[in-house]
Amino acid sequence: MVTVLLIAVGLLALLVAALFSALVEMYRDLRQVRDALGILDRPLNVDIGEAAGKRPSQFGLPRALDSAGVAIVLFLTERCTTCQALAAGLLRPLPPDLWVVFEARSAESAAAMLERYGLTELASHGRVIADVEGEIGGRLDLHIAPSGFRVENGRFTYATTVPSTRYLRSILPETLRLREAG
Amino acid sequence: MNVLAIAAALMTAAVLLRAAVGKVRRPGDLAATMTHLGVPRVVTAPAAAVLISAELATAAALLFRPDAGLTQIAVVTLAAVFAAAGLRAMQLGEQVACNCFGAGSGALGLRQVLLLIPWAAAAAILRFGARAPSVQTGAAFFAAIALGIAALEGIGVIRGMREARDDRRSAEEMYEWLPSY
Repeated sequence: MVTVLLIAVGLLALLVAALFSALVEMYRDLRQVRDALGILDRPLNVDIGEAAGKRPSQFGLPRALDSAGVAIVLFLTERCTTCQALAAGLLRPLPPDLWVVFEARSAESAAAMLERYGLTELASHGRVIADVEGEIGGRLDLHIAPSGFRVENGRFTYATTVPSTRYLRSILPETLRLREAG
Repeated sequence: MNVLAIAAALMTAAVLLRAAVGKVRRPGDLAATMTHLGVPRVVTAPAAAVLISAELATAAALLFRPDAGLTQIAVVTLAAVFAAAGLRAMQLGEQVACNCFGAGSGALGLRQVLLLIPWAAAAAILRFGARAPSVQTGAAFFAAIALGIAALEGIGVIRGMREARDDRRSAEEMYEWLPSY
């Protein structure tokens, strides 16, 4: 009796394994379909025009970016749903090389947005900037949000759209930590 | 039966069972590999069925009669078939899908030839150290291995589920952005 039960358990387990394997394949197929539709973290290049090679402070951004080795400046607007999703998904504390610029119609709506996403305190440290009436975005001739501008050695290099939180995380510079010798 | 012989029997049986389960879900993939290797199309379907059955039967024999000469011969024969497939793929100079454990198992090649050594070693260990376990012990081994295989596939499901959930969230965020762009 015990032997029969053990064999039955084994056969059922193999059946479950086969079903799990089919499920894994379905997940792969689903990923393939989403990828073919172009909805999987597919960023678009943003033409940064005259901003290429220039210092961020020339466009009204903090001077600290001019001495950044590598940084990402994320431009969000209160009018865009994906921007709101990105704002809600921002890691706290903010990654060290991420700067966020929030475009808003007025100082009040900027303050309300920062409050809504728990970013008011971060704004006081200077890496979350309220861009009232899109002044900074206007100087950069930026019309797409969310978009991420890459800064290397204190100068703008290129920019892309940021279609998802996952894509944002993938473009954040990785900080290398060195162990002390000896 | 010494520990080494038990380990050899269980590991070899686990690999063969896992391979058979992977193949039995989509035998057409295995038949396609055989066609690619030059097996006439008319016999690939029955040949695939024979290979899967041989793997299952050898796994069962390893669990219940690892000491039998036929079991050891079956292990070496299967290993020789896999190695021959690897050699043929290298001769063709093309990327031939292995389908050894089902879809996504890499390509046939030198690996299958080199694996002949551990397969033969396992058969040798069984030849000199295996003894027939009781039927209940064999059944317990079978249940344990099958549960282990199901657990491994379960890990794949959890991983796939998380990835699909992340993809869905990313797609939702992208959908919300597209109309404004």
